Amino acid sequence: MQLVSVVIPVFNGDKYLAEAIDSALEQTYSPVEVIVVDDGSTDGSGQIADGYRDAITSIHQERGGNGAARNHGVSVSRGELLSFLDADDRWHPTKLARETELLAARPELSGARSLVHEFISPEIDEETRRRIRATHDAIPGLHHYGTMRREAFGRLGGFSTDLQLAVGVDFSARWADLDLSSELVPEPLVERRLHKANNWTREANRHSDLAMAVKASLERRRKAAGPEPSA
Amino acid sequence: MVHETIEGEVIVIDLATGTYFSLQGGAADVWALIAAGNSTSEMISALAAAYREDAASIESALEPFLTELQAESLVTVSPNDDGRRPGVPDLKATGPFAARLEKHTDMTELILLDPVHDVDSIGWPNLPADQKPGT
Repeated sequence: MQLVSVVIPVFNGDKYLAEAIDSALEQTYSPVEVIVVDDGSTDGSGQIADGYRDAITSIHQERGGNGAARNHGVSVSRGELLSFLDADDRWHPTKLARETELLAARPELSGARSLVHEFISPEIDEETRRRIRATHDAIPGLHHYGTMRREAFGRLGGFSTDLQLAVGVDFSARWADLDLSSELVPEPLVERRLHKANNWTREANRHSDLAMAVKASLERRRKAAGPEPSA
Repeated sequence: MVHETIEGEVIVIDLATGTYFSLQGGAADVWALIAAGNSTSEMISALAAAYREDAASIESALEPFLTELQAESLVTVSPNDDGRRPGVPDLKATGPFAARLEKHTDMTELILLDPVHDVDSIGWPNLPADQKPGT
């Protein structure tokens, strides 16, 4: 069985971090190494990660964004396979088993990903709950939510360190540009948490980041297509 | 809806559908004028001055573009009676004036999958107004 390295970047996410780490440690698959990268948190995230002692690898860095944190985690990892978990999300216990099964059976695949199911964090009050749209059916996750071969990660050159919030979209866009293959496990094995914002400026920044990821993808395709024929 | 000008290119993303648009050159100039609150006639004068073209030729290139923007629901027409003076954006004016809307659907899936974890975020993932309780 191949070692799976699970990288969890965290920035001020002490509220849900333990739940995320536990869900990675409680996978039915083994061997797994869990690497938490504390991205300059000022809350208790770093201490929570350190509290797991030998059960995980806990590393700390100055604030560099979640792309840089994930890349840092990969740089210290040893697994042939890589998977990324957000510090506010959690996995179903069979997540890695199902994805690695697919990768073992299909050597030509670069990655395998499961469906993502959204849930409303238990502390959200009733009034807010009513405002939130009904949780839709499970949808395929972006590529980094799945399990990928280290070689594919290398070909992609890791995550963008320029973007802060649209890192995953950018990663998946580049995955598509390189025509890397991926197969879907049709089960909702990743649980994405909807919870309260801790930073009101986040949404505006995310939008600007998303536009940058889209622009970068456009530029790559324009470059690949060669110079435009003059009209 | 997200719009952002990056290196002279306007990227407009419809978060509800995952469609995105690119506006370059004259189209980016028109977008800047719209964003600054200019009316159609104010845009025509500003563009005619910047591109050194007559108003009639600007208008004939502008009208279909504005219609296209409305058809894609990227802009809505509002009565120009708020009394505010429109801003005067810096126009690139690399002519001749032409305005084209590039529509892309190749990243639809990725844009729709982009996770937003914060329920307080404006507009998402709140229900559309007509589905909110009590409205």
